[in-house]
Amino acid sequence: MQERKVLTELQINDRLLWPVLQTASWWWPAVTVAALVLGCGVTAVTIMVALGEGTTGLNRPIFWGFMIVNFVFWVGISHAGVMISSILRLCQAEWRRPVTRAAEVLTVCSLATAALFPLIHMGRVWRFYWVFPYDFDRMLWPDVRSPLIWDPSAIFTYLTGATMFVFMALLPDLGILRDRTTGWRHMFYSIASLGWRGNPRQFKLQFILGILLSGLILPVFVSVHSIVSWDFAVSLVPAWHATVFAPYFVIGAVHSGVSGVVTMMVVLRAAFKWQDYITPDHFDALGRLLVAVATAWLYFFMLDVLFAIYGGETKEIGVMEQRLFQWPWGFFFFLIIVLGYIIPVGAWMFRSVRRNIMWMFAISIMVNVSMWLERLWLIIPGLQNKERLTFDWAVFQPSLIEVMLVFSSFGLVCLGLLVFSKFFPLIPVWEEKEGQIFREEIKIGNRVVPAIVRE
Amino acid sequence: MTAHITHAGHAEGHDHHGSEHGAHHVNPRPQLPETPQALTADLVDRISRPRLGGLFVLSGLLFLVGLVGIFMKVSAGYGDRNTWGFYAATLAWVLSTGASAPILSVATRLTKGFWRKPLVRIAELFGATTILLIILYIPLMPAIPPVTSHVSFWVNWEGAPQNALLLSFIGLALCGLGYIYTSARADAAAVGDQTGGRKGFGAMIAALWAGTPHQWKVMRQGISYLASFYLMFLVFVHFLVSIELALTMVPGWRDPIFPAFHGITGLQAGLATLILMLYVMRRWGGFKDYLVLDQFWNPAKLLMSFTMLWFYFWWSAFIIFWYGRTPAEQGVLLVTAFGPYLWVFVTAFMLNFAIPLLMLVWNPIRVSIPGPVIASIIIIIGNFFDRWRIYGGSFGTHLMDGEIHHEVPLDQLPVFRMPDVPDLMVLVGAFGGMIFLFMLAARLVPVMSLWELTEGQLLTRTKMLVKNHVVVIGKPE
Repeated sequence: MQERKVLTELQINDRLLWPVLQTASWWWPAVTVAALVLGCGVTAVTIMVALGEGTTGLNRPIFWGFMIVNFVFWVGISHAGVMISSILRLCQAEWRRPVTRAAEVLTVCSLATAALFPLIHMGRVWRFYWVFPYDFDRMLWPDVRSPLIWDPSAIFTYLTGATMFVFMALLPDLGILRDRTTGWRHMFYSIASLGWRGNPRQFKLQFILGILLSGLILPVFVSVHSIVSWDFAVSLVPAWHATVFAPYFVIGAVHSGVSGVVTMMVVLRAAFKWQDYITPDHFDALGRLLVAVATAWLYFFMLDVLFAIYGGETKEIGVMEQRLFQWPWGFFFFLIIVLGYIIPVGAWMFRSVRRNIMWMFAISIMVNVSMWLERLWLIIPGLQNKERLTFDWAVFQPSLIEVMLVFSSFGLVCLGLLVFSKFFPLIPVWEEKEGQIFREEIKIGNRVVPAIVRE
Repeated sequence: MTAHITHAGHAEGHDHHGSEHGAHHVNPRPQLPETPQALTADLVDRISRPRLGGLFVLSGLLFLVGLVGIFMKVSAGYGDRNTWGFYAATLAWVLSTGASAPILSVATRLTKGFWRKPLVRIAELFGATTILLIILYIPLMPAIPPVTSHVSFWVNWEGAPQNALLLSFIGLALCGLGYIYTSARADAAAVGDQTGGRKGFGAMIAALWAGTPHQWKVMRQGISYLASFYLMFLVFVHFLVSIELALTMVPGWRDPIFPAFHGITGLQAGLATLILMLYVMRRWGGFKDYLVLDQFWNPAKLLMSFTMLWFYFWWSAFIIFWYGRTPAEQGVLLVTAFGPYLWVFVTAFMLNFAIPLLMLVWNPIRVSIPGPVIASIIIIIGNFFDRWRIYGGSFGTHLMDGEIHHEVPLDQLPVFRMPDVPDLMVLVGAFGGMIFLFMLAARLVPVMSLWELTEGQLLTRTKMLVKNHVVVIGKPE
């Protein structure tokens, strides 16, 4: 990290805690907009529940549409937190410090949002508990061999783990906030900080817990999207039944998740004026990481496409023909490749682009547009079988209700982040202070070189 | 030897017993001579006294045995393709061990891992083993079935897979040798200049090297490009080998994860090979002060990750076949795992995943020097069994009878074939050949990267932080 500003503890406290202790002028308008967007979704769900799933574009044989696409998309975004926080923590990457908290919170918010979509998709949301083996009288036992049953377990395990991860890293900051607030806030932070005093033993335990949770959450992180992929792949639906789906979904999730973190960091940097904390160096590092991730994603993507053709099975070829050459799927394929790989990686090869905040913002959004389309491209065409009697390809046309649901999910995630930012610092204060202690400079000949302390 | 070597060895004695955090109390990093000049002098002194002469001769003899084995295999002919399965497994094993070993150098260079400095050259020297792939592959070419006899990526382009594989092996070898050459130029010059003038092969490598800023810049860029190319080439070669020598030979084997599985498990075995060689160089090669806990513990973490990935990639394919249970998928599972090669598969599963994971997940083993080495030996053996069950089953599938089949009929499963004497000679020869080519390269090129170690020393300081001695590492880039 070349760009490093020496900051005192007081400066760090002032700069990172002001969004919590004061209210930015834009905060309430932003919350209002996010709530309105979310309101669209609430309205859509209300209409759908009242009138039934006929209000959506779902019909035989396409029973999984925008809601499941959105579910997969948000589960994908949720992989950002662990990728950034856990792996970089284990690798002792110094540049992780200002990024981790926001990435972890993005994980929690997006995972909670994702978990809503299968529920909404059920239509009769009040019967969600039927997936659990609850009713001995009715002898209603879910099929434990089905990944659809593993899914809730994996997602709730991940949600619990990610929440613990956020909370564990928050403890020192909660202690700081407790000492700087009065009234109900003081009481809230006092309870939440669990008696944090910042003594060496507490820091040591917190460090060990961080490492342990980082290690433990990694298998959960991989399993979540693998199980999501098996929702599709264990079936015999053409174009879904592919062995590569699990790692392909995971790497795609990391691609979209880390890009989502880039988008969020640009917004945070501008909104909270954190230019001293989130520097072009961080975008540079994330850009380099994304080059590797995107290339791995492309490798799996191409394996999936190649092998669908290689098998030579009529149904597979039929679906691939649709995906590659029929409107709009062929166009989507083009967009997925161009927006998800060619433009981003082509641009990220240049250091000047990686260090340009606005370029990174635009490219990260481009990647996520591509990744959303990719999920759509993966899920829908496989279901568009030829109807047995009409011999026509089924066509999926999303209704306004589904579009509103997709739109509102962004509002929900943004609202979650905004509310979090009002109560907790989105950059870990204690980690920034630790980073300042670990920063050094060494002189080699006539040159002063930035350095870091390694334990 | 002019340099004063501080007590590097004492750190390791305690490291075996320490926990991951406990290991920080002792210094796991190399304790190097105190000035760059002393460091260079010390390294030149060690490098110019070649050791392991006995191993060099022995591996050369084994290599010869392997060449005789190849001759015997070719003499026996190509009538029964099943007889070439074990041979193909040997080729894939060399690709997965020796040829994949440079990848740690590639990865740590690209990610600028500081602990890489004493081990990168040893990893790079394994690039020389890519020559062995060409030697092993050429006799195998006639045993590859024609594209018209099975479903193929090449449609009906006769000879395409054979030639594509040959070209890919040549490309990988050129890339590997180029990688060694590029990174070793400065060191060859330094060794030559410090030992009475540049001469012999070292002079060829060091030709025109004067250490100008321009040359350094070009060298660094060249290393970055070649490292990236080697990585991409290696992934591509794994892709081609896994498809052309296994997957397309088994009708109905439509498995997009298989090339990735082959590549990932190849990286696991490559890493294991490197760890084993690091131990050899430490124990018998005279580099005990340079290859310390850091150079075993850090690769061991990666080895544990790759061990888990072995299972993850295998399971990802297995669960789809198990749930799909189409006739073609049942056939594939029987050919590659649960049929005649069941015991080979179980051995591979235990040696590649279960045993190494149980070992490496345990801190006292992972944070030590012997622990990762033993796990590596197990993995190297396990990787061979893994390749054997894949290629043995694939070459044993006799469905290239002029008709295109789309599944393996369950009554026509391949017959398990025990290796004969020439097979074992080739296996032993391949093992010897890898060591021989490595040792040969190590005699021609400095086995330690002098310039990187010197650079590392310039960028390292120690200081007191609160009550502890800590290491400060410069990050100029």
